[in-house]
Amino acid sequence: MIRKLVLLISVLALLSFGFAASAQDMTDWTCGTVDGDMSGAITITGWEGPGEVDKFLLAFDEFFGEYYPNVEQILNTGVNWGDYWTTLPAQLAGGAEIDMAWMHDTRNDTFAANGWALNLDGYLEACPIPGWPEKFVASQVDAFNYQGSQYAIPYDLAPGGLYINLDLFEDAGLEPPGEHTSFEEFTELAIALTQDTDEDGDTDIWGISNMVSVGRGAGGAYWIIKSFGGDLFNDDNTSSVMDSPETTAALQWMADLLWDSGAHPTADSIAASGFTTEFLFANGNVAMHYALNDAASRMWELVGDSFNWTVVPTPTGPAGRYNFIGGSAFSVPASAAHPDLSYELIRYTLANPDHLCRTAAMGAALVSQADFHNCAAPDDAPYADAYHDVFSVIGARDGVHPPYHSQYLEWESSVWVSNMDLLWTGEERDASVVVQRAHEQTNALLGG
Amino acid sequence: MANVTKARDKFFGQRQVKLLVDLFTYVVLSVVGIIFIMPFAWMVSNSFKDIRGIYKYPPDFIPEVWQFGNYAEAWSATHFDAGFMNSVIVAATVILGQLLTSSLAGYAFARLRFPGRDKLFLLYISLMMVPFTVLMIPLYIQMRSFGWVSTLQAVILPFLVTPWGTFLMRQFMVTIPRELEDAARIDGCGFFRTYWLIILPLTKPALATLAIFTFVANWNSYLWPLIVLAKPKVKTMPLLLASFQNQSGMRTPWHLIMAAATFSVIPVIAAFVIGQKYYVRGIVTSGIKGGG
Repeated sequence: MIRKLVLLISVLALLSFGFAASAQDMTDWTCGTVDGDMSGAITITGWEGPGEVDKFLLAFDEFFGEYYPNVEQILNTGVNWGDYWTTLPAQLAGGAEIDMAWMHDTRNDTFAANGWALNLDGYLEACPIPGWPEKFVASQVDAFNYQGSQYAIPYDLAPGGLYINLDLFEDAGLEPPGEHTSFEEFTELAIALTQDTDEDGDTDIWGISNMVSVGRGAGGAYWIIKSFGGDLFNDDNTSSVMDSPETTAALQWMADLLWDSGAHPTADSIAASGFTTEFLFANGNVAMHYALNDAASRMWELVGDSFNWTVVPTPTGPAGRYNFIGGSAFSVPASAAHPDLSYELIRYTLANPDHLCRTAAMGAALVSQADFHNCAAPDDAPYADAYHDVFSVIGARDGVHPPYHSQYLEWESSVWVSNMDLLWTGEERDASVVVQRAHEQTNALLGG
Repeated sequence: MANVTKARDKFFGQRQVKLLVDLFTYVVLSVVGIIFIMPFAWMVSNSFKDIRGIYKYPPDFIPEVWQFGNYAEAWSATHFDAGFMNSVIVAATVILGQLLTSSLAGYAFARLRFPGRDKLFLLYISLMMVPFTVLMIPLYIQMRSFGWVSTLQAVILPFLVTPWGTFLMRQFMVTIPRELEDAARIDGCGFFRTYWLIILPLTKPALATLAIFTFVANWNSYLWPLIVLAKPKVKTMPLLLASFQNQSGMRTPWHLIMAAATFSVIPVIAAFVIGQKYYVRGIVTSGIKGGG
């Protein structure tokens, strides 16, 4: 009798514990404003397609399966990047009931300023995201903040670094650059590694590639400008400070890689090779290749173990060490039919520790919470340790995103690219000339 | 005799000159034809390669290893069967709609007499100058208010009526002799029976031209479907092809995209081959070189 009673009590205790645990879980990941029996559809749109979006779809399925089983997900993912930014504004301007949208740091301020994205401050206050903002990488929290308000929650980040062909360094008897390598030392390395192996007068191995690119936006240069002590705009982004000697020196350093030292392939030499610079590196024609961390998985696929390679940090400038950082986020459009539900979904997807490691392992970029960066590079990859140091530790710490503002994209295409391409194509080789012109055009655009 | 020889020499001289001109013309046309066909041939060639073959340098025109499985893989990877059917439904419905509305409107503007007809026609065809980007957002709001977002109606109904089709039909119909209509009237035909029994059969070349242009435009239509079709099950072929590029992480499966692209152009080529005779006649008769 006593044994039966003990068994019954144990069963009841276990059941109570189970109910309590599930009740606790419900409290954690819902905010109490959406009816659990809710039915209908939630529309989600984004640019990432199968392969990259899968990590999130697993979380979405788990969320709806557990909390809102009657809600249908309408997924419009895999929209081509360029098309996404053409159609999303048109849809939102037309009042489309899109509940959740992929957002990029380059676009956040434009969407916020136009009233297309919902201000999430109220949600963050009423139903805080666990770990927000202290566990999220600070630069990415800031990237989606417009005029002091949060308009999107970052889900990933991609810092810049250098991919190194260790065999070429060994052949040249040189040590790869490190965190404290200066830009001058870096240039010397790049020059020393540049070779005309068949002595036909054409370069066969370049010291560095992808540091400069025709048509590229300011993001590729901003971290160098900051490292030299320069900047693009004043603090409130209303006028240009591009004409400073520091900004000019940074851009001149980049131009000199092409036209002075010849350590960097020009647009013509890249075109003549028939490859992208990434393939040039993979073919052993480049000693150091600048790219973001999300290139690592591609390199692993392309290079494999055909030569020894690793990743190292970008150089340190006279004003300190900075590297590019970019990333994406989830936002709730202002015309969303179910904004509360969208916020809960974002909160669950980006803060639930049960699946963040899986998200990190399945994605090419790093997740926005630094605690889960260790899950990113495959353990069996020879670059795994270096990857963690360069991108997760140094890259996240020193990452600086360009000063995106609501007129940034217009400025980038009409002022930055049109002027800087003169430097990158060699039409003008004196950085001060293009900087002065860009400075004046920037002030005309911003009214500064 | 001398005159006969002279005439013969002149005749053969002319023949030789004509032969040379023809030869030169064919050589030029062949070169231009090869230049035009190269992108298509390259697409087909790449559709049979593996991903390494695509990136191989120097490139091979003939694949080293033929990957026939690319077609099956591309077909199943993004539900192209549903996309193909959606594109067929959209293109077929819009063609039928445009043939009917354009021929009726063209008949009215070409043959019926009513006050302000030519001014109204001018006003109507001036709509061709309004770029679609201007219409995008109002049209989206309209579709949303009808509850048609993410339905095939949204990519069919706005395009059932077209000023360009009306213009094409009207230009063709004004060339049809009035005597035929007069004879039909004498036999007791009203406006609609004249249109249906006399005018429409004589308008086949223009109808074929309009059908082909409409088919190509709608089969390849991208921007508007991209905006208004969010649900995967209603997406058309071009949308699926584009989304294919964003698959497999950061690596674009070009070999599969080429296979899918090859598949998607087959109906366009078939439409042109079938309607080629009428298409050329339609263009020659109506004096229209393109539009849509």
